[in-house]
Amino acid sequence: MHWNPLKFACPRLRDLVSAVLFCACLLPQLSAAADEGQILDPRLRLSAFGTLGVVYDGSSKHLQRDFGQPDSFHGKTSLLTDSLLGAQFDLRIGNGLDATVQMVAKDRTEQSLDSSLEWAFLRWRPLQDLTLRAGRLGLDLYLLSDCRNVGFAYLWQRPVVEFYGPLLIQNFDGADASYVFKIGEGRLQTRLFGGVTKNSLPFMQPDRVNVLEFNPILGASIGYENDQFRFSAGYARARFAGNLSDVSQVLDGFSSVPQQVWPGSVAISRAIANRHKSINFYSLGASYEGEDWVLQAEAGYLHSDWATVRDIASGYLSLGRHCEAFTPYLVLAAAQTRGAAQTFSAPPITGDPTTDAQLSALYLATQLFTPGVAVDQRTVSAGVRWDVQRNLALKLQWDTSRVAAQGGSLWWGPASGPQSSATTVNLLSTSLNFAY
Amino acid sequence: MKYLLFPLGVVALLAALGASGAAETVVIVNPGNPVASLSREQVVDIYMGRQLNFPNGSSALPIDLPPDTAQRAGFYQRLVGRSVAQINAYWARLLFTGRATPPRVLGSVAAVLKSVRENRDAIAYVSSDDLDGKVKVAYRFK
Repeated sequence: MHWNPLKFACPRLRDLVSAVLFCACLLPQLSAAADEGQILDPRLRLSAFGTLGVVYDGSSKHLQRDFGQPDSFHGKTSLLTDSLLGAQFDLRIGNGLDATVQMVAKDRTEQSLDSSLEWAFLRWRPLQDLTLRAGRLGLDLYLLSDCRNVGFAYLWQRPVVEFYGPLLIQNFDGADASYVFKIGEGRLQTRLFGGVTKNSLPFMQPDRVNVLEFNPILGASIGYENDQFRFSAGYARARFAGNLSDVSQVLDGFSSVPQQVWPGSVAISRAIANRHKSINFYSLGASYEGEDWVLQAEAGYLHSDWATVRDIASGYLSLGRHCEAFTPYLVLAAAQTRGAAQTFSAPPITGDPTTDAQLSALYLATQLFTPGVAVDQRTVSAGVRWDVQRNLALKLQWDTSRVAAQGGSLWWGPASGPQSSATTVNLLSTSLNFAY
Repeated sequence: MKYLLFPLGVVALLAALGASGAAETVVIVNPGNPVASLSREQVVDIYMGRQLNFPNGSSALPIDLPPDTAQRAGFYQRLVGRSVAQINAYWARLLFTGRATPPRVLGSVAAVLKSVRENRDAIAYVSSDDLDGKVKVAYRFK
């Protein structure tokens, strides 16, 4: 047996290392091309950002920063939860046309060039205040919109998990149009967007990887911004293109059950199927940045027509104060599941041992969909951001989260997931964030 | 006599300091740029990435001095009242949300002047002491 130095114990880690190496190899070549002195030809700009973070988790539950993020904890610590590396290329083509490509290497369920391509779009400004974009775009519904990968651009260790964690969509392939109105000293931006998206996420359990495809995603947002204040409101609707593979398997089982044997089976199949059902996202946000104080608050509601993903109301309030290079902050966040979980009634007993065994196996399979994906937790976070240099920030954050029973869909680990009991989790995290 | 020389010397010194203190930061464009002058709001919009064009519609290419220079810090402090660190965090958000790219950074005042001379779209800021008559002043801080 040959020893292969490139053979990692964990294939995801190997893929991540390849993605990071790929980005790192591109950097020197492109930074040479993007010589700051050459402002006419080529008008290419290379930017990079990254976070090296470590999380210590005092409990047996493991944090998912975004819904479905793989469990990367070794014992009580994880290096991969908050760490990532990104590169962005901006090319000014001329005549109001430019192009942007952003690649992000981070821990994912499925590592590929396609999943690492965060954005790739062409932008055209036919009029001074009208912008049209087409390609892969970030979902721009929230205050942090799509800079949630860029630790240097926000105050905290990570985007508030209660609010940003349950959002299933980070980007989509499609187009958007935005128009800006100047109002006094500020600007009002209106945007319409539409597209499709497809990615792989674990469903309920780390090893249950399903392809999640939405077609179409449609939405609109409006935002006002001046020197100190920002306000935003947004709505998006994403429709499942097809059934998850876990759903299809169970539905196949149900299709062979005659209705007279289990009269309730039709209703159960309808409830379990996710194809052509929609998830609706609503958001409101406001922020203030003065010379001393930084305030930010957002509220959101996720309404799902597919009862397996339960409605979630979420919000947070963040307060920070600039003290020279240090900004201490406090965040209060909550997410609450709304409405009752769906329940399925057990099959009737037919008396035939073979049929009864099949029906009870099928009934057992439906339990994957109840109580469903539920996020019910409250977190208090305190931390400090230290701007060490003009493009380097060090952060230290402590979180204490109270997770309600059956509300632990943002956590992995033993006795976690939707069937979990109530618990308190304490996290201590630190990270080094850069952008240039 | 030497009692007279001392106050004269002080006056001369103050006059010299006054003269160098009179150097101000000015915003410059290419002489061929049809824009005659810009308002403070227009300069803010271009330098904060809110407006990518000059008021006449032609595209604007803003240029920055290196991040650690006093002139850059002074320019942003006077323009929007923010520190270089705050401006960096602001730009990180804009750049990495794909909305706009920050001004190009050139290494020296000479390189900035050369770029503005050679690029019709360019806009930059320099000290009025560095003006060479080959660029056009579009805005002066009052």
